Amino acid sequence: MNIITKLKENSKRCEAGHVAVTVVLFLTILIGALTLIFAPKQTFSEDENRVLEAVPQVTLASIRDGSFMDSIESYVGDHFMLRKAFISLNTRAQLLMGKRDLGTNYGTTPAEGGVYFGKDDHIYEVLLPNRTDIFKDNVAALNTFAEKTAMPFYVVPVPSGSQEQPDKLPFSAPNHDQHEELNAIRSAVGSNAKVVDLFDVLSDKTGNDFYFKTDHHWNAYGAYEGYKGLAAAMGIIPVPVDDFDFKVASNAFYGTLYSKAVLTNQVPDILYLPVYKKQMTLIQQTGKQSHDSIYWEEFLQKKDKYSTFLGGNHSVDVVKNADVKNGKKLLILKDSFANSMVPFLATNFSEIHIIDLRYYNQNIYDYIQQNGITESAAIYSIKQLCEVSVANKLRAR
Amino acid sequence: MIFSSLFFMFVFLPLVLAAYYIVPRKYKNLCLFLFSLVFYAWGEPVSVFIMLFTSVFNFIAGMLLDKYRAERGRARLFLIISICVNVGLLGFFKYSGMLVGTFNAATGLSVPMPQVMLPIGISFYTFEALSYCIDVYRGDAPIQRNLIDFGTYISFFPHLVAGPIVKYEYLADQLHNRQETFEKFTAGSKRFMVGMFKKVLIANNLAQLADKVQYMGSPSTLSAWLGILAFTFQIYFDFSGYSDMAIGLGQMFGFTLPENFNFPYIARSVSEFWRRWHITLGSWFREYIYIPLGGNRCSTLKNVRNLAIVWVLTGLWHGASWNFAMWGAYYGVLIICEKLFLRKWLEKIPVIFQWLYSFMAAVIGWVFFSYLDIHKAFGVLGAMFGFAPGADSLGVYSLVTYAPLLIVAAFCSTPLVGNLAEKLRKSGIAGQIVWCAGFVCLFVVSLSFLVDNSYNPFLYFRF
Repeated sequence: MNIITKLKENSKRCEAGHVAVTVVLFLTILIGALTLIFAPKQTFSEDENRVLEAVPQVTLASIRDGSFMDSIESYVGDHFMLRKAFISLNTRAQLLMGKRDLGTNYGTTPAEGGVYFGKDDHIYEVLLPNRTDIFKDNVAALNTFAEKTAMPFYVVPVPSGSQEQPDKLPFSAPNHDQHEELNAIRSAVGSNAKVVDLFDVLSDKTGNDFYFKTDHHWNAYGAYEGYKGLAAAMGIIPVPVDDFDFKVASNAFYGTLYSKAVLTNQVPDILYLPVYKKQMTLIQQTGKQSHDSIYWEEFLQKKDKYSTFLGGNHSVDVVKNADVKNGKKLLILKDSFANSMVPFLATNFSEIHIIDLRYYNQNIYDYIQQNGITESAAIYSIKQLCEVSVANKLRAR
Repeated sequence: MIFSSLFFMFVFLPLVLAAYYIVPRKYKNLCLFLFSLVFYAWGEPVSVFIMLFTSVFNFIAGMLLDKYRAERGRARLFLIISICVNVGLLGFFKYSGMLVGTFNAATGLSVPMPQVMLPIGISFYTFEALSYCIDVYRGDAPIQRNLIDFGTYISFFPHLVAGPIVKYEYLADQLHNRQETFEKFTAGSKRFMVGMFKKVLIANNLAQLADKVQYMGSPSTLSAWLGILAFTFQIYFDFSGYSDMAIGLGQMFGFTLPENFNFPYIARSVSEFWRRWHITLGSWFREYIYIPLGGNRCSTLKNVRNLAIVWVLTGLWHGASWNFAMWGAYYGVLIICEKLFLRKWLEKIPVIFQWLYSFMAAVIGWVFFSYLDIHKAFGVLGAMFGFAPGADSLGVYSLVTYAPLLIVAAFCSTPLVGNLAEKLRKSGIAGQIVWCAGFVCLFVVSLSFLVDNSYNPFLYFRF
């Protein structure tokens, strides 16, 4: 009895507003904690295209090195109630604050520039100047590769959408000029490789949009321009664009940039797949598996629709065209930008060996000898070259 | 673990509160102590032993100081030993890298850098431990005979990693006789949420601008100003927000922790700024260093010396790097000037210029604070005062996209916004409803920032 009267007395002195917000705070905590414990968990976030954190395992080692703590903190974030609603609310809130870019993080190495909200529903990667040696090392390694292999070698550095469509960026938005990297590549490889300059042909000054609005990749038309540039450097006549039928594979493609800036009213992209109108019999070998098409249509049902091209990135893919009898075998060192160029290149080569150095752990020089490669190309987005080191994979020998 | 994280709010906080209110009175401090150890060990499990050592060592030192109270000489010896051990630990973990680096730079030798990891919060709890020994030695505070209660004082998680620095004398009584009330609890919850708004909505967002300008390097005049203004408000809202959360959490457990900030950016002199900024640190230095050195009750020359010592130490307390010493020395010079003549001059000019002088002094100070590299700091200062192009695209873009937030931050750093909100809250039912609705909106948006896992830097890892 005594306690209850005391509580009553005590609560009379509380401020009503304080009580109200305390109730809101602790109700939220209660509901949040209960959903964390009891609600069914997703294992994969389609929107962000990543695996969500699994229930962390407690071990002495994981506690000692702190990985248990990191993991449980990510777990709480990844499985938080109304996660998607909160994330799109957050995008709205930041736009309302006046911000026109999202997702920057200068605490990481290399720093993450985030994305710009551009005009015409375009989202763009923010390009930052290099503050690491990753790019320098990668380019030096490409030169080493050129010197060691001594076969025709082409480097195709692909600029980002924000480089090629600067007028669509937010007002006065600062953006690093990737010409710096293009020139650095040219002077690093010298006469050991031909560098393909795509800056003019991919620009929106041509009147075309060669990039997705919601994804950092070039679209199929952009990839064709890349193919044309590479073919010219190789001295072969590119297959004309009219020989391809650009088939609409999906009109609800929300790409990687959307994942960084989830907005409910974002206009989706259309994913076109170029289909060669003439006879072409392709098989794609990935490890021990063999595909009779280079379009993996199961990805059209998923979030990451760009992976329809070759089924995404694997350490090694081999695309063989039985209708090309010239015996030319092209090796491509690449990131995902190359995936959508392969449909075009496949019309010119009997075999294309596609190696993603990020996942490849064998000796590349042995591979070249064993497979009788006749020429090679490095197809990389410049941003990737600046951010992910592949240099050590090319030093091997 | 930081307060402004989903894990803290949705896992740690409910667990510690539930445990605290379930266990009988006798075990409440033990409960806080254990949870505080988990809280501390969360970030770096190994350093919890350093904190435990500090707790046990100072507990024993306190006993000895008390036992030999009658023998002045011996008590003094124990005090000196305990100060040496505490300062030695702090010096080893925090400053050995800096000392070796400086030695190498000065002599051209290359003594290997010691690989010491700075335990988080060590500067805070070391100062608290020192205050205990000194208070007991002076007879200002009663001896603590219960190790758990003493451990609770040192490790109490709300003030553990970013202050306020609570003197033992201040908390001694509350360790045994405190009352948890609804009034305190609800006021504490509100205070915690206000701190979260400051940290998550204002500080974290401004951090992106401040860090961007630093990242890009060689700023234009406009970018330099925007970058340093962003940092000026970032560090205030981050630090005072953290203190608000700490004080609010303390209230939830029935504690009253000391205030740490009192609108420093409205100060009209640098001396006043420091009476409003990180108040508990200022008063620690005042009480345990400045006054024992003789304070201002001595010759002007000695007074100047005392101020110089205190301010260089204050600077170095903020990080083991010479830019922090420089930052402290800068304040030392300003405050000495104010003592000697500047204050008299200031009193004669209009209030707005007094404020402008104090605010600009703080802003320029933050240049030295935020740029670890002193050459870069001078480069930015030069850019601010015209030795750079007037504007670049970064500057214009930042102005357009951050002006609203900077203006909001400026208003919120004065008492105006808080007073208006309080007025609204106390103006009848309608006002209360509007206040609550607004408050809940801010809370939901803050949560959205935490869920989105936005930029959430921790500024005090150097302290």
